[in-house]
Amino acid sequence: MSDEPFDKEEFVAYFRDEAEELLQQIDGDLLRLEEFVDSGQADPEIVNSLFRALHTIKGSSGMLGFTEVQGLAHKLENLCDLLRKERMPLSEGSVEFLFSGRDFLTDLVQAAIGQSAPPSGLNEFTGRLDQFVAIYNETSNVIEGKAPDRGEGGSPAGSEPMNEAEIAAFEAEIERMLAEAAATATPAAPVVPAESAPAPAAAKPAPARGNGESADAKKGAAQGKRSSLAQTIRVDIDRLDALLNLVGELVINRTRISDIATTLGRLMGDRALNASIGLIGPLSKDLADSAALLARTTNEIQESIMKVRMVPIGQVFDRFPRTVRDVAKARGKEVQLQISGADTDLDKTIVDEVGEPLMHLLRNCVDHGIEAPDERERQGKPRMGTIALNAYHEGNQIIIEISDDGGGINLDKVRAKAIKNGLIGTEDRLTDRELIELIFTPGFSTAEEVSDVSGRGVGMDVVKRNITKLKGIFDVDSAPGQGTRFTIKLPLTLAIIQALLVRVVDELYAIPLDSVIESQRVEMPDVRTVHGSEVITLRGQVVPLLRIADFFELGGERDPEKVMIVIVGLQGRQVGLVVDSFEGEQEIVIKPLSDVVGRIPGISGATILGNGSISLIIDVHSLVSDAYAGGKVTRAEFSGV
Amino acid sequence: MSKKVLIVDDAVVMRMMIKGILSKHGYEVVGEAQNGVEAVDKYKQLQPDLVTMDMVMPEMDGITAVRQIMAMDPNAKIIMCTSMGQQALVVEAIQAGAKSFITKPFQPPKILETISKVLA
Repeated sequence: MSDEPFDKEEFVAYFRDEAEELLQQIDGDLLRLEEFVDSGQADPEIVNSLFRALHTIKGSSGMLGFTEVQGLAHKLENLCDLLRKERMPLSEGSVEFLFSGRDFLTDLVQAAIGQSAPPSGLNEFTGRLDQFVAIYNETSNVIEGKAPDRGEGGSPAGSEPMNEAEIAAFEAEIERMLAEAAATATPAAPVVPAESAPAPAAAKPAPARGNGESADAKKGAAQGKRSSLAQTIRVDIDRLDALLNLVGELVINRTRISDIATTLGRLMGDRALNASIGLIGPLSKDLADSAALLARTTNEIQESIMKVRMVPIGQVFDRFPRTVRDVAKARGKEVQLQISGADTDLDKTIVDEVGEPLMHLLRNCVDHGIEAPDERERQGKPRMGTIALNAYHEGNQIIIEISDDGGGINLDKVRAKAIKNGLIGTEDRLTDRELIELIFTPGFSTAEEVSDVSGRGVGMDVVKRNITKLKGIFDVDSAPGQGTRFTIKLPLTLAIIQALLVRVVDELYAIPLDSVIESQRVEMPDVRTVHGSEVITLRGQVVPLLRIADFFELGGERDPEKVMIVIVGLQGRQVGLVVDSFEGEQEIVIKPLSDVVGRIPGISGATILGNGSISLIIDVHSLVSDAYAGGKVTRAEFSGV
Repeated sequence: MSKKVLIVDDAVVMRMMIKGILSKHGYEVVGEAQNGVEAVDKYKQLQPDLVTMDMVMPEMDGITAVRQIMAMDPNAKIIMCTSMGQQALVVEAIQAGAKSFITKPFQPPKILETISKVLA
């Protein structure tokens, strides 16, 4: 049947992606627009871009029956239309309405796709917006003159701004205008009257169907169906084409290999094998070549697929200018954000996770790093502080740096706070580095008063934990009076890593290579025991040892003469993992352990090796933390060695 | 042979929906364009039997695209996809040569009906 309701669910994911992209664009446009406020005259190009983005959101949400989104987008579009027709001056007020409206729109989109509760305060906002717009609306015939009436009518904000009757009226109006135009002039082409009578008739059955659908949609949302939407990413078509080409080669090669194998098999079965034996040599060579090629193509496919998962980190960066603006405004500071390396590619999974920590660091820079303008002036700095956000690739990692030219971390304050919190004693002498490390302690903050901006109970410890969860490294540098630099190193992808394979009592373990510093053989006499723990001295630094066999309670015998050690390091802390033998490096695909197995301390996942056997992946982070924090070796004992 | 359709809209959701509706009902969607410039290019290249044309798009708006396509092919069949409030623009588009229009948000039967009328 032609009137079967179409499945809206399948479009919701597209809607979400598109809306997110557009809301981001709107944010950027608004930030640029704000610069024109002083002149009172908007750049028409920016306003048009805003108008189109809102118009698109309105159209798409309308098709999906997200009437609240549609309604608000419509109101904001209306405001933009007034700006663009210069019926309303560009003012701080109008920009602020657009900013807030954009935020409400974001919340409404989230609510529509079932990811969050509807925002509160929306009715109050649309009420104010309607009043604001009404002043300018009265004198003009804008998109829809009835908008203010509806707001005052007390109906829920933006609900069903366009019902069937209104559409019919709108279409009738066009018919009338067309007829009028036809009467006064001869149209260039014959005009098919667009359903003068059929229009309302065709529209009639629609409301019933429309209601049915939206009821279904609501049911779906209630069941939480939408929140389990598949994650989609839009992919550059060139990358997919490259992937398809490679798959094509693979298929060809596979056919070739099976042909060779068939021929070889026939020869083997041949009774005249002796006569043919001369042919088998070259054939095996062919097979070997083919197999090598197959392996190479497969590797390239693997890389291509990895690239398909890669997205520019700029997706995350895009929302930061707005955040920095808002925080700076709230704290009375002047800050400019310089972004570079936004096109640096990173695995989609990591991109999604890294946004929050970065956002927190940026807030922190504005709130605690950059000084107030007057204070900066006293110190001979420009009134406007600068925060630089930079991303680039280095080897198999991506480096993200956030630096500010603010006051730096006040180490005296850190020390005082740490003493007050009982983290260190008054006598303890800590290096600057160790003092900085203290800010990662849960609940630690040197800010005198908890501001509503960055003091949200989320401290640097959470940032560090999140980065560590992504197998990343988080570092802080600070120079008093000159600023602070946060450095985050992240793996390009979480799915495939280089690993060092080691053997411990008949088991193969994989140690992620990015945390391996070196591996070496140490004679037993060089292993000392400090406070019951084995340590070695490596280039003047004391490194605690951790016997994998003991940690996993594997038993096995100890070699009385020597130990094989893999030195792993995390954030400047090193641990020597004692293994039985090194089995070489290999690229491995990480498979998470299933829920059935649960979380095993010291194991981060498993991988399947080329020969089909399974190897567990060592969780270096937890082993290092364990070696240090597990009570075996403490910082104090170390400084005493 | 099924009729070839070119869908022009800057909104992915809108393109997907129109495509979904038309494909299900025997039309062949031969191309999609997300602005007027692409629309004119793809019309030249694909010679579709019908175009659904959004009005508000970046680069080049729908009406300008209608004018350029009509200049290329006076027999082009273009249906405008419009929103409420754009009555003056719709009239302009139809005077420029568009054959009909549908108003967003529309129901599937509505677009099918309009298309079959224009193609009749």
